[in-house]
Amino acid sequence: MPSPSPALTLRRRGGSPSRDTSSTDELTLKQQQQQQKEQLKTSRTAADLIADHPAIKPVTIPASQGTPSSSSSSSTQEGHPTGESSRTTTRTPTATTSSPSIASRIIHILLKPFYFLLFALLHLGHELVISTRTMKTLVQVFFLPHLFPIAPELVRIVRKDVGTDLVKKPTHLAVITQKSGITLTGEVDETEEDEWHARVAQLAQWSSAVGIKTLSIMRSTPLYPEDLEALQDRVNHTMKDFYKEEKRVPIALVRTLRPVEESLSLVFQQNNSQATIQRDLRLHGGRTFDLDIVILSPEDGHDRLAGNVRHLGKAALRQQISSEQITTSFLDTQLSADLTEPELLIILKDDLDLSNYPPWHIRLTEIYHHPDQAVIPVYTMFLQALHRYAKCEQRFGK
Amino acid sequence: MRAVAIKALQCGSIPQHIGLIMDGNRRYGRKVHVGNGKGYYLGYETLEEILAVCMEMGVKVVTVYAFSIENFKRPADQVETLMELAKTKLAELCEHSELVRQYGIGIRVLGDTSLLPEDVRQVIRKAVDLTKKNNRAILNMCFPYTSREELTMATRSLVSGIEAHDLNPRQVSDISTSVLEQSLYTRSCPPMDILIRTSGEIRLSDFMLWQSSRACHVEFVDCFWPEFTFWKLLPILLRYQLRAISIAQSRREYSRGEVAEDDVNGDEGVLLNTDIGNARQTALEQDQEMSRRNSSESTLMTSETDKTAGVESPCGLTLEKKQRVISFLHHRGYIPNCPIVHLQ
Repeated sequence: MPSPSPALTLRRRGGSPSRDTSSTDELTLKQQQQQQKEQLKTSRTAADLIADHPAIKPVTIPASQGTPSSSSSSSTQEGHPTGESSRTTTRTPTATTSSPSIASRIIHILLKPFYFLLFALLHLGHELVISTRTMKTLVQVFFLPHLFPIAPELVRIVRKDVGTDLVKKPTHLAVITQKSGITLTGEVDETEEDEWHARVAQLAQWSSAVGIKTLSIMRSTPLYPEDLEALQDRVNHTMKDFYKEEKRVPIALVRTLRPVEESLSLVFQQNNSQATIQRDLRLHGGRTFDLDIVILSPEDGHDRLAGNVRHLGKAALRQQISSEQITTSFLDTQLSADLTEPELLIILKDDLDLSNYPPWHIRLTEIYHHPDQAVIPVYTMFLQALHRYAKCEQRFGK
Repeated sequence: MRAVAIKALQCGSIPQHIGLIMDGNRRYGRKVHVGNGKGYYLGYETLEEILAVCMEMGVKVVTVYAFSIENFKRPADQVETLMELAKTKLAELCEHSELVRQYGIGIRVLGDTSLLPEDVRQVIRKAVDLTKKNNRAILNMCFPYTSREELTMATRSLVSGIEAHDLNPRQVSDISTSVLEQSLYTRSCPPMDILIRTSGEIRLSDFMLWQSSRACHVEFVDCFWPEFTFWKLLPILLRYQLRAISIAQSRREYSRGEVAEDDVNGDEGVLLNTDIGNARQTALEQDQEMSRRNSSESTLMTSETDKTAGVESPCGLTLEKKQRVISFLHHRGYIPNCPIVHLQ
């Protein structure tokens, strides 16, 4: 709904009966004065305009600074904010001296096309810089296949590429993908969905090779439950393929987040000694696994936190908890029950957009992104992100 | 030169809310061999400069990460320096600052101020009090702030409100994402458009996690905070302008999704559906409640808007239910140092 126009709010404020501090009485007077001046402005005579000229009347605020609010030249808007600035601690002697003079306004309107030209030039220059950077990336990518394969097919290749000198490796890797095959309206694009499944399987292969325990993937729309099984089959198949030279194929299990209602009971059941083992067992219904793949969607972000609040509220109504118990560690235990904190987040989108990834969990996450990611193979991004993570130093406030 | 560039930028869309993580003061101080303490002072000067630039451009809200709750772990003398800096600069800002006066900046201090020493708290109270009527722009100083603490505070206040007013479960189901958003410290602020972190670190360090997680342009800049000038901010603004349309579009999509969520959650729709509507409705109702109790915190309310609030609600609410909602919203409504204000 449109916000009330400034003039309307002025009038309302002027007519309010419940003001009882003395400063506000002065304010309403000032506003009524301002209002009258605004009404009169439309019928200004030439004499008024001359009287207002900066050469004749004293100016308290230099005309060049004018008003900060945009380039609109309507008189009500220009009169109004300066009226507001007079309400702060010091008062300007008269209300009219603080509005920009007619002359500067005319100059501003005449200069507008030049400003627009400069605006266009700035953007053009910026685009040129971006394009050169993309060209440079393209050239670097072109020479990559001599160093790294675009998509390694075997575990030992990944292990060799990662190397043994990584000081620290993440235990939870999060990836935000561009889109999935399902649009917001529910239409399914089979090839894109298939590509997305393939991408997930690839990431699963590489993460298991490096030793990452949890891989969470954010997609733009929720995954249908029937597709979850298809995805699991795909992942199993590709893992077998990837590890065909090894003795043992790691097990990777795919899941989505469980409903919020289950998390609260876990907070009460937790006792720290067995916490991780119990958690692992619980997550996949008792099956052991090496890699835990979690598929997230935008509704797991803000909406999940809001759902959490609703759930806690209902629990409070049932006298299960009281509001004083809600501390940061309480919420942390509850929210981390289903999803741990990722140490490294790779964004496979053109813009650095957190896309509603569960906000609670990315408190200290290293966020890796390259604006030219469309031309860089995902494997290269993966390796570079790991190396960048290994080099970073986290000070935790100190 | 700078003014010309700003006027040129104003031909495109200007962000309404910018967040800044001012990182790298100490390292810069060491780099130019003036020491850690002086590094903070240099950082403050840069903040003044960037704030002036933002105000000139027309940015409504600037949120800066001045001090994290984690920073209390630092050596005591550094914490002491920071507290002294905060005291002097806040006092200066509210009383003598030309910038605050000219642009009508309201100073807000976000965070759990009960962790601060009493003298700092007094200065903060005074600064917020003196500038609370300013509603053309807002400067949010996050001191001391942690985004998790903010979310915890919001959750706790909502749950305690539910307890206190003994809402029934169906009304609890109406608590949507926007209600939670209105309980955070940044509730009278528009959504965050740009988040900038200097000093080359690529993490958020518990700053504005909720506000930056959707439809926000996040930038990690590779220089230290005292080295951050308008000319480094310029390409960021250009990039934002390229993205502004898609940001606005994704915000629309999210709010459409929320309308659907509210329909699913509660048919009575006790609390309004859209973000904007909610912001205004809760702000209006809170102000109304406060003005009725003669509090000095509200800036605008009359009985007229009471009627318009009734008109704006989508479904016919009974008076009693509306009173329950208003008192519920008011119960969790009061955050010290963050008075509700209507930005122009």
